[in-house]
Amino acid sequence: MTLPTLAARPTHKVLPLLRSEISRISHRRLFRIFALVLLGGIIVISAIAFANHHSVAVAPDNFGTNTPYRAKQVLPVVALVTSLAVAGIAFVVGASSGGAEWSSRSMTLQLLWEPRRLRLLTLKWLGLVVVMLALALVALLLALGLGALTASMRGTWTGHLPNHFGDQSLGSLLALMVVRGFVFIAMAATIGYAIAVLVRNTGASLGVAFIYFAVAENALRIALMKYGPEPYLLSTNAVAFLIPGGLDVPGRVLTSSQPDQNGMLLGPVMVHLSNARALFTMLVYTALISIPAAWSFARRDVS
Amino acid sequence: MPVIEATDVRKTYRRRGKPPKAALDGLTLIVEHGGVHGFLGPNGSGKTTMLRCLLGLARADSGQMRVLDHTVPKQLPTVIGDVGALLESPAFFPAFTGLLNLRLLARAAEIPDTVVTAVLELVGLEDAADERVKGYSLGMRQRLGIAAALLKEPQLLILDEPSNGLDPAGMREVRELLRRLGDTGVTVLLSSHLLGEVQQICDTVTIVNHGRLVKSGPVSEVLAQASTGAVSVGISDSEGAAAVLSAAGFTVHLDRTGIIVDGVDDGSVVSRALAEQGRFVSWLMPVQVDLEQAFLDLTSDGEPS
Repeated sequence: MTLPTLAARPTHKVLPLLRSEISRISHRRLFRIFALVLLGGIIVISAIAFANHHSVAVAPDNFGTNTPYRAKQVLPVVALVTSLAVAGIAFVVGASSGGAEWSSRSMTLQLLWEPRRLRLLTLKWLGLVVVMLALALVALLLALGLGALTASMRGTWTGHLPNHFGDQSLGSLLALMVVRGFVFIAMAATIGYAIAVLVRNTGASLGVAFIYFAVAENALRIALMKYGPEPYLLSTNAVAFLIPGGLDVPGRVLTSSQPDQNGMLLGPVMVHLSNARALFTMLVYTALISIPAAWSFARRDVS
Repeated sequence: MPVIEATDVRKTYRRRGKPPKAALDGLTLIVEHGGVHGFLGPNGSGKTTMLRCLLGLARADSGQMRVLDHTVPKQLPTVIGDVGALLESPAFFPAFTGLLNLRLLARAAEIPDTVVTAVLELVGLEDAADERVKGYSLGMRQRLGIAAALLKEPQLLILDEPSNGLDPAGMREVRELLRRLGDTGVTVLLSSHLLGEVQQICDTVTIVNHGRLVKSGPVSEVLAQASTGAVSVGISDSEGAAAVLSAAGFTVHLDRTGIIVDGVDDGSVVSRALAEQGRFVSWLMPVQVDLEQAFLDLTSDGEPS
């Protein structure tokens, strides 16, 4: 047995490390299963849509099918739903890849190769985001492409966008939705990974997310109803960010000694969450989770 | 210039509901260039904590540490390319093959795939390279960990219990490999509970207990200092000979092979005393102290000497 001789000393460049990280995430079975299910699901749903629409309107059945596939009505929804689905996957893959690195102790091994912790963490995060955005790109191209095909063969490009989407063209609307979708997916992956870095466990990070969305947000809605927590909740802002033009949500509840025109003494003030405001709120959430995660990763001992 | 020079390193773990525990209590570890250096200590003596501090995985509270003439952890990024390490159980992605795990590490450091193949052959894992790590036995994982540590062709190899889970043949191969590496200029720091292993392959040794240095130096010196100065005597009438030696002022006791005479620097005085009484020894030899005995003697009272 003899030790091999290297032609050059090991390097610590950014790009090879990033490439290795991208390769590591894309080789994960969970990611591959999710990607397969997502892309397969898009194909199946698109095929169903194709089969159930006709270019010339015939008598619609009870399910509203047999009508033309209206691109301007459907494609924005396709972009929205696809972005949400990829964001969900990004969160789970982020939490799972972060958790797996701790449970398998491979993080320890990697720190023996790149001891600059923040650099390693940044590259790992970047690798995750790149992989998830690549999946998002493929999924959105596939979903919108198949939708466009269906509209061309079994539907129509004429008609109007939904009223609250404004008077922009379908192309610019979709382009902006895709860009916002990318930002949202990157944030979902970041939050998932950051929680995993904080708690160092996949199950615990998914549990934290479940408790937040299923319990904490609803508890806040009920407990703080008077103060109108809705505009500040993560899930509300996520939807407000993705929907073109934003979302109107109930805010602070006003009390009045005089009943309003509907005879009500109480009523919430409607708050408009623009895309920009929702983005800002989500960035605050992302920072609130990511900064402690990075600090903890840089400071805590690794076993 | 020592390859590792750590002085007065302290590390205390705070424990919830319990008083803090000093894992390292001013530990000093000096490892000179080349050869195999054993790092011995009972469980919880601070060996792994010390290695973690040297490798930047744990933060020492105080003390000075230098690795390959660089201050660590500050300059660790500069030297990490020359340091291969395996700490406790090897850590890999269980769902990836052994080959993929190593390739991902190697590619991140721009080490060619040919080196990956070579180190897998070196540790005898070439046939299992395409199997998932979760199907590996503990010994196979250990070999993969050693392979990962060797990928960088390190100047300093730090191994924590590398023989864990290996079968006797595997242990022998690893020992031979480490010995050969030590002979070819690589400095190997071997933390091990297997005292026989350390005695077989190490040139120097550091013994620690309670986070403090107990003894350090060449293995032969540590053994010599722990020598009892006893001789073992083989003779036909053991009981009668023991009575003769006792009467002559020697401290003796019988064991299953013959007589043990304690506190004797020169064996000839024993044979002369017996010969003067018409008794002649069949054999006489100094009682060898092995590292296990030395280790137990040095660490049994729980305090450093």
